Amino acid sequence: MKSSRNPFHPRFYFPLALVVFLFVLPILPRNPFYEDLILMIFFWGTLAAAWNLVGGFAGQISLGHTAFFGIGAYTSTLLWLKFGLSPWLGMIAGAGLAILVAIGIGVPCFRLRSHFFALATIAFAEVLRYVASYWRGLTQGGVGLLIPFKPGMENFMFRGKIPYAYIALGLMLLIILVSYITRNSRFGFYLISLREDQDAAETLGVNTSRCKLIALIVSVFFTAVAGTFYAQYLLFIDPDTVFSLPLSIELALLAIIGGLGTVIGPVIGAFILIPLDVLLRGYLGAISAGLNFIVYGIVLVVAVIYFPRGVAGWLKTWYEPFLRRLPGAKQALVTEVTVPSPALTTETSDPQDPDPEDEEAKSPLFQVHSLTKYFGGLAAVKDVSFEIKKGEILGLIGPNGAGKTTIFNLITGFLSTDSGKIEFRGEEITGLKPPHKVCLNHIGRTFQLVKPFNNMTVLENVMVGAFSRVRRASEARKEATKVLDFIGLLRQRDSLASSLTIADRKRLELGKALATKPELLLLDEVVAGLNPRETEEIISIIRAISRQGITLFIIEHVMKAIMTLSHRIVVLHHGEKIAEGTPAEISRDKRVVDAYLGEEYLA
Amino acid sequence: MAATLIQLVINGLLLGGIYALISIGLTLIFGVVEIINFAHGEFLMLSMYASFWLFQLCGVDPYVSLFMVIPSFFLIGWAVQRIIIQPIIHAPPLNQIFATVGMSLVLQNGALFLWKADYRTVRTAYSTFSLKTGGLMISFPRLVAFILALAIIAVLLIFLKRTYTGKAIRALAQEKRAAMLMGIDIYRMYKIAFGIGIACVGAAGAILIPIYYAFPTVGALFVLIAFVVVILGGYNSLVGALVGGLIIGLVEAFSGFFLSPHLKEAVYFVIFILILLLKPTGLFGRG
Amino acid sequence: MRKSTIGLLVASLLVFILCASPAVMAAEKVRIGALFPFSGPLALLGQESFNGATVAADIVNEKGGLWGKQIEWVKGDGVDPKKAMTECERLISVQGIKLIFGTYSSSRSYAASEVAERNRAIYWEQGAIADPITERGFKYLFRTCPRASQFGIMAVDFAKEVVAPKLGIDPKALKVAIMFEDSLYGTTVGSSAAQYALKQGIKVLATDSYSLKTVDLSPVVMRFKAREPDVIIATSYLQDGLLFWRQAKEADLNVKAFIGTGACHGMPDWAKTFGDEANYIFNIDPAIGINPDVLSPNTKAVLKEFRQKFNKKFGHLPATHASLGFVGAQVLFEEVLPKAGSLDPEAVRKAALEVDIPKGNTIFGFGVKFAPPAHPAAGQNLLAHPALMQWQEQQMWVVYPVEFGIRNPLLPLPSWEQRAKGETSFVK
Repeated sequence: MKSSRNPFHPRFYFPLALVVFLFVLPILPRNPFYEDLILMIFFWGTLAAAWNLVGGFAGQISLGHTAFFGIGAYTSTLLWLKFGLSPWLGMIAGAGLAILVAIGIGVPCFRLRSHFFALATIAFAEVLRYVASYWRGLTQGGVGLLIPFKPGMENFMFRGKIPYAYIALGLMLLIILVSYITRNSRFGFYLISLREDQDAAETLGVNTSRCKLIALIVSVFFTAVAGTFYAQYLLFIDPDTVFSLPLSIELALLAIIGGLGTVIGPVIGAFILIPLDVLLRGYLGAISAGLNFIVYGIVLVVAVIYFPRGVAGWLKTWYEPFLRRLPGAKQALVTEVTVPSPALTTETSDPQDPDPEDEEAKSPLFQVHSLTKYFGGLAAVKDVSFEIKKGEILGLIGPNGAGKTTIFNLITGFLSTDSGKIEFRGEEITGLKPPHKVCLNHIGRTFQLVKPFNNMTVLENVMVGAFSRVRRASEARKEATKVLDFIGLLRQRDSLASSLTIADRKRLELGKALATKPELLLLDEVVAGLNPRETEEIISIIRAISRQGITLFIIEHVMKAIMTLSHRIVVLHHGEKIAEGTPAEISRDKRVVDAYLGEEYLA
Repeated sequence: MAATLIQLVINGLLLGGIYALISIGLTLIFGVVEIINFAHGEFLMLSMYASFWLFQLCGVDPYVSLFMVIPSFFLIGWAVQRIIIQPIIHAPPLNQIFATVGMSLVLQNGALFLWKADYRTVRTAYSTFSLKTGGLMISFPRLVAFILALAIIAVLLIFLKRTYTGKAIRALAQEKRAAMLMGIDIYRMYKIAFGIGIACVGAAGAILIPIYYAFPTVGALFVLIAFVVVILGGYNSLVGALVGGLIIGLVEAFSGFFLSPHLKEAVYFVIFILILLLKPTGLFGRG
Repeated sequence: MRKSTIGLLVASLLVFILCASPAVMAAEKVRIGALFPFSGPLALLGQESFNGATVAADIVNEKGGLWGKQIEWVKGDGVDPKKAMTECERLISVQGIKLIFGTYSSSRSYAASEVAERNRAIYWEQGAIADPITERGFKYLFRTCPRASQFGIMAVDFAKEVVAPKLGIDPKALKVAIMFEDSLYGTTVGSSAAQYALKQGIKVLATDSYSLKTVDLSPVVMRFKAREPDVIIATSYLQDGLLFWRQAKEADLNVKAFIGTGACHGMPDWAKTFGDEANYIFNIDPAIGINPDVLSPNTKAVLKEFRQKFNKKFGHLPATHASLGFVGAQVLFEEVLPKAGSLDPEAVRKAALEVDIPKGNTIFGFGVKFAPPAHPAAGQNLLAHPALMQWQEQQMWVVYPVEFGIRNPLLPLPSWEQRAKGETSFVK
């Protein structure tokens, strides 16, 4: 999509005006205290925005970010004090070291669930604090390191505060830019999707570990650089301040109050809380010690309970109408491309049986040989074999706990097989892991309990899937729009996924999977819990999918749906295949009726 | 040397008993409500102050104040669950973490506001009394803490196994959805579990005041250890909390003696990270 | 509604900031900045130091004030170094303060005095003891209290000159163990003791540091028990000191002499907790309980007045930190500022450099003379030194340096059991 920006549109000139304002800000007060305040806003804004990349976008709550801050501060300071290396270079060295450490600690820790991840990061920062305080030979321990004041550009030390303020501003604008680019790129979509639901993101082809790691590296880079900045500004560091747990909490606090996972939220948080902190300390702190922190704590509790979207969430509702009132708002910013919508034809006729001769001509698209999986001593899936032909709809039924979903999980890389073989398009894919590789291999799936990315819009949800095939956001948007049209969700494209009805969530689940362009699509109970009319609609969509040549493998409890949809059905019982055949054959099979169909089907 | 080693073991176990005592409540809350209570240490601090003031103003012995602290802290826990935790029970972990972090800020500084930064302690006849046998020293108040930790765990285990409420709480900890389908009032169970958790840490405070000191930031000293213990023991196992506490106590005693007193905390944090990475379910945790 | 809420918030912020500007403030008072950690982990002694200073100001104010004006404190809360820096900046450039009085904590003092120096405001340090504070060649920084290294050196000197002979041990054979907490205070004092002992050829069996935040010190106790030192030199804050003592008692750790270097071992809270068991313990601190023969008659009166006024105002007698605050403020208000004639930093600086208070004329007994700008410790009160005391009959008595001493040091330290039973003999 080609876009030419119109400089007279408020969407363009208003942010520009803000940036200009920021540039002017440091020279306005001509008073060191306010200069310090502005500088600190920039400094904390940078830190909070850096934290936000990991904590906000990727949803990995690090409470040990001071570890990287401290590494940055200590590295540059020690290099300067011991070897006279310019802190500018020390800053890069510190950031490099912090990134290495982050990779070392991040890769294993990212496997942990969020609460545990937070604890692990705290523990890590604490270990560094103890080491820095113990290793007196290197760090002078608790005495801390004093940096002699030798002003000069090359020494990263300045007489006044203005140069510091501009360095901090530069850092802050840089991290805002990084956040902005991230938010509007595939990477950003991936981060948010994995935050919302890691399994669903993997299924849509998101390499969640890699995404988290990249986010962490960028975040750590800025955090470590800010550490050097802090050292050069205060000219004194000690383990208790640069590795302190409260510092980690404070910078997360800014991001939360400002607006988690937004581009400018953390900076807004800094603009509000840093002056507030100084005021509260100055005025409440003078009345009685600790009073300022009580206010702080209450604000935090109220904010996370009642305003989890932060100030940026408020501003967002206010920003658009405000822009519309500014001069020039009537003009077009960019030319929007409207996507021609292919009409969705939903026929209600019965499925056409695939031509038996055709069928034989084609080799099976997908084969499972003697698949076995044990949980502890219990066989969840035992020696199951079947195959799916291209264009076929294969149903998989069985009572609860028969191992149906386990088979899906084995195929899509959520579980590893104990024995057996899975082949797709003639290649063995047994043990292909993690799930995003399976997705990229053109096998899609949906989940029994739908996993929408709640805090993303419907369009964005589907875009995550589309990104597995295209790189640019504009292309993904186009693809996703097509898919939304196909599944009948185009009207809700800008609603948050969390606001959808159950039926629409099921459609969305289909849409996300479809956007990954699968050849084989695994559907796990897509009509469960829907009323007959909704079921009918979903069934017609599934038929339409099948007509596009996508091979389907369906788990379903609603017998009517699976009997009408499937060409063939495999029946599982206690992890074993007990029957296979056409719907008609299955419904006549005595073992099946005994084991399972019985009352449910008759009822 | 043999005597030294045995003494180290004794010191480690007694210290571990204290850690276990503090961690029981956290384990219960973590296992059932699935929230890490970052304000856990502040409740310990509050109960230490409660016992201190009961002693100071009414002359109540800390071990007697136990019987007042436990029920009142149960109610406090109940209220905290109802007012602060319940609204965010389905919120993302981040909101949960920071709601409790905010609570800890308020409590810590509220204590500073009310009672200043002074160190308050109760000096009883048994504060530094130790049993001496064959050159070995066993601190009496620490032994009491150790025994009480065992007693609380035993009582809780019986409660969880035998009573309806206890079974319901266990069911909840294992499978929330199923418990809900079985007609268990999960919100009531959450309140009870949180209440019991806070009551446990309340008991810990009363037991600790003869050994330690109440001051506004005392909770922060203990809370990280409690996290380590809870994870080590498997975050939803009471026996795990006991064993985890004892292990950390022993690790501290030995690494402090043989390595350096300065690095003992670092050592158990490293162990903590390793456990998280190698066996995230802890020593006694279910998957 | 929401828009207006935010607008209101922003507006009230601006109003706050504007109100804080110096023009609004009344000008008929002598406004002195008081920068201490009033909240956070160091709040207790930060507040106590400031309390002592307020008594000095009260005394001056009662006599009609400074240059006929009342002294007014403008408080800043230095919770951590960065915040101390911000608060110092606020005091100087928003409140228009020209003289900052602080800080008790050395790390906060580093950061805040840097700000004062760059703003050409006087930084008057009364209690932060880290040596490097006055080793940066600052022009506007003055420190009235002794330095950390002096504490460690005095402990070792005492061990060598007094303890060893009294115990009948050759100083070279004297076995010393050193323990200290890991913050700036403990590390500076403890390391200086260790280094100095090495220079003096004294055997140091163990130099054990530990985290101030630790909840168990039995490993330190056990290590000392296993090594059997004659003398322990300890630098502890209150929380860790109390913990160590309880655990030392539980484990029955006995040595021949125990020398604490300030903080914990000089604090009433500690002494109260251990009662008779605190007897015989040595402590190094600037002391007001020195031999009154050292003090000038005028200073004796000042000391009496200070003790009375402090007790009346705060309900307990002043200990070391309050006294440090008092002396710092008293030198400033009664010696320096009257001569300076105004708060103009250059004038204050000139007056401070001219100050020459002989020995016996502060309540600590030491004199005051600030090192000139060219001196390696520019701004340091070169005459300041701590004293060494011993707890006897639940009170601290100065025993060293000898001329300051009121009582004779008693050695060796009786065992815990003997102390608890009061099987001790005190000789006046």
